[in-house]
Amino acid sequence: MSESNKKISLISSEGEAFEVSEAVAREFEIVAHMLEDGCSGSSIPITTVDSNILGKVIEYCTKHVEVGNVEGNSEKAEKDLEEFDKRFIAVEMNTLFSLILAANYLNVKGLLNIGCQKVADTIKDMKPEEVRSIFNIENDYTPAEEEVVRKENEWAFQP
Amino acid sequence: MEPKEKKKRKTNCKKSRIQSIPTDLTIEILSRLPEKSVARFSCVSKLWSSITSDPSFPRSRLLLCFQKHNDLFVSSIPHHNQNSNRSYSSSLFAGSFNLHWRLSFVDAHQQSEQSIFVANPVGSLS
Repeated sequence: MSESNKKISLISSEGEAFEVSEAVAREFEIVAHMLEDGCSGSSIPITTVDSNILGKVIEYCTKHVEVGNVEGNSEKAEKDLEEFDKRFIAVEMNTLFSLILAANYLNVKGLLNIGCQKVADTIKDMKPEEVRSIFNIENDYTPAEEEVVRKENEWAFQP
Repeated sequence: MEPKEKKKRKTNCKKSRIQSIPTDLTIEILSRLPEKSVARFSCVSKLWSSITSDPSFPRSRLLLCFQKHNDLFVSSIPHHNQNSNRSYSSSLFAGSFNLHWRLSFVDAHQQSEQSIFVANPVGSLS
């Protein structure tokens, strides 16, 4: 804990500053690389992530750093962290997508992992139409083409 | 039909709630889905279909071994797609060794001509 006293400001796309410990900032791999490359500035702009999402990503990283620092009782800590992840990722789809995009950009692997898994779990039993609407994908099949693809995968439409 | 579609797109844009997910993240998400969902979602769009039918996309495959005289042929094909003409060489099998292997003996029978046997080298679910 002692050496991570240094504070770093992460600046959201709106210009809002979030002060975090260096240990938390380093959870953003993109920031860790910047620091290793000798970027000594104490404020780092995260221009593609808004305050709401940046705040959440920081919350995630802070929790994971905290738990990582606790010695002993690791089994309980791990369980707690799992619970935290579960609650953390239980957000509506739009926020979930924003979190995934931010985690991908900032290179926070753990968050990216649970985010993608959450989306997969959510869409698993959906129909293609529902998935299109969630991902905002336009159906580029002609009705005839779609019919063919559906036929090929007919088994996957059966309950 | 045409104007209606146009209008729909416009509202979607206006809402602009859902940010578009780049292809690498789409792959990341799709690769976590069970085989059945993956097959169903090839109907979502041409892009999704091309992602999931790409040989590098991790999905369960059926491994077939043929013995003809003293030669052993190994090939792996997508688990569900009986109409597929593609087959993959044993080197692909080696490369995808740690992927999911699921067996369907029904499939095996449909594929079979004579003495085909199906190998399940890992046999684990995950």
